[in-house]
Amino acid sequence: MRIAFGVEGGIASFPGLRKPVTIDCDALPSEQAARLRTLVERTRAVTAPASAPPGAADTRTYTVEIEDGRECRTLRIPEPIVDEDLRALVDELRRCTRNRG
Amino acid sequence: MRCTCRFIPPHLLRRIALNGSPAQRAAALATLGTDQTLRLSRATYQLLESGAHRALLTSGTAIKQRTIYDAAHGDALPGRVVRSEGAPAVGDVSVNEAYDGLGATFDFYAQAYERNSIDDEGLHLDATVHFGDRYDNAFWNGQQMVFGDGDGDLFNRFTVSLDVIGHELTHGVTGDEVGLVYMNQPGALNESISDVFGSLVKQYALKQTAEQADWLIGVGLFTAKVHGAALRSMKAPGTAYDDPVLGRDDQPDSMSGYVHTSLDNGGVHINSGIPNRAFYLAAIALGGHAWERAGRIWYETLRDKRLRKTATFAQFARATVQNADHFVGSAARQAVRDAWRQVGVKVT
Repeated sequence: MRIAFGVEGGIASFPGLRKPVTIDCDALPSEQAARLRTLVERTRAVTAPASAPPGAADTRTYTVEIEDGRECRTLRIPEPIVDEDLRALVDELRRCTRNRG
Repeated sequence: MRCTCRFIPPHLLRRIALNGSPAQRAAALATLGTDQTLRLSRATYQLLESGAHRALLTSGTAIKQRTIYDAAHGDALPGRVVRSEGAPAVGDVSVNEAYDGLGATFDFYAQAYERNSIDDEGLHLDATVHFGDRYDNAFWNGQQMVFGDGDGDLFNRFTVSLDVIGHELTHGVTGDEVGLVYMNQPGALNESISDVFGSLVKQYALKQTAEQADWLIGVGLFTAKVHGAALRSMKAPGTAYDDPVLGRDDQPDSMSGYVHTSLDNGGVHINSGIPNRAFYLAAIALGGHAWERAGRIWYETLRDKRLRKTATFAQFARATVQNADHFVGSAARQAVRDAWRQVGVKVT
């Protein structure tokens, strides 16, 4: 399973942070990969609102593109994230992609 | 029944009390309030009861009502109250910066433009700090401000910059006045207006002239590891940072560099560089304290009922030129027109 995780919006738009980061589950430690698979599976039934609440500004929208064998689906998750399963997935993806040394 | 002679009939006074400038409203409310007839007492009572003008009624001046909440690194809003209006400083720097920043923004709008809070009706100001886990952002959720702590790696706490606090609260002002659609050109105008008044909040607090101001948004937000001065430069868009991780600031400084993209709601934080620089150029041309002339023109344009929520750069520019003439004078009209021309927006 491969996941392309992107963040749009926020108080500024940084070119370096604009491109989605691809996470290859097979390359992750097995425990983290399993956790990610479980979190992805839980979001199947969830429908996220398509946009931020009216009047909101500088909020972010997370994009999660999941590719697993022949299946491919994309989640657009605007802040604030109310659904627990979506929040857990975004938190995990943020942990996976935190990279500056 | 007693007949009272008056110049302004009560229904008109009530309209003024609801829709006039702060000074007009205060006068209208005072007139309504001192009238002795039963009918007017009733009308005044209804107006008082509506609650919309509490702050003006109690003192004749705008009254701050701030509340700072702590989300304790969670996502639930607003969180626990940690400092209310009038309470002394606490041991948490984010709480105090948010409290002071809200106060400075409120004072700026009240003193520079006689505006009574975000909605001009004394709206209470709420802000939540310590939102999320190492959260790299600050936003306006339509009702309140929200600040993350930053990851400590790229970003510091988001309460650190006064202009960022002014920026977020101005989103509330823009939402209240015109509700510019948060996409493409009207979205970039919405962003630019937040940068303009965010910067003016800082300039007002420091009593700087247009020449003295740094015209940077978000100084202090980056950690020492980042190669960059700030999030954006209004004076020289595209020069605020150049960093291996964040990339290079790609804000255009004129229409020739306008970025067409589906990201960032159509580049609202990218193309805002164009109207940002127009404001900077107008402020320098008009001189002195930027909030007095250039700021007044932009503020009156934001309040201009002819401005539509789908306004383009050109439509907004035309309105600023008209308002420059009306509120400052014909010399200002030419200066504002020139400022827009220099960023590639022609006002005919």
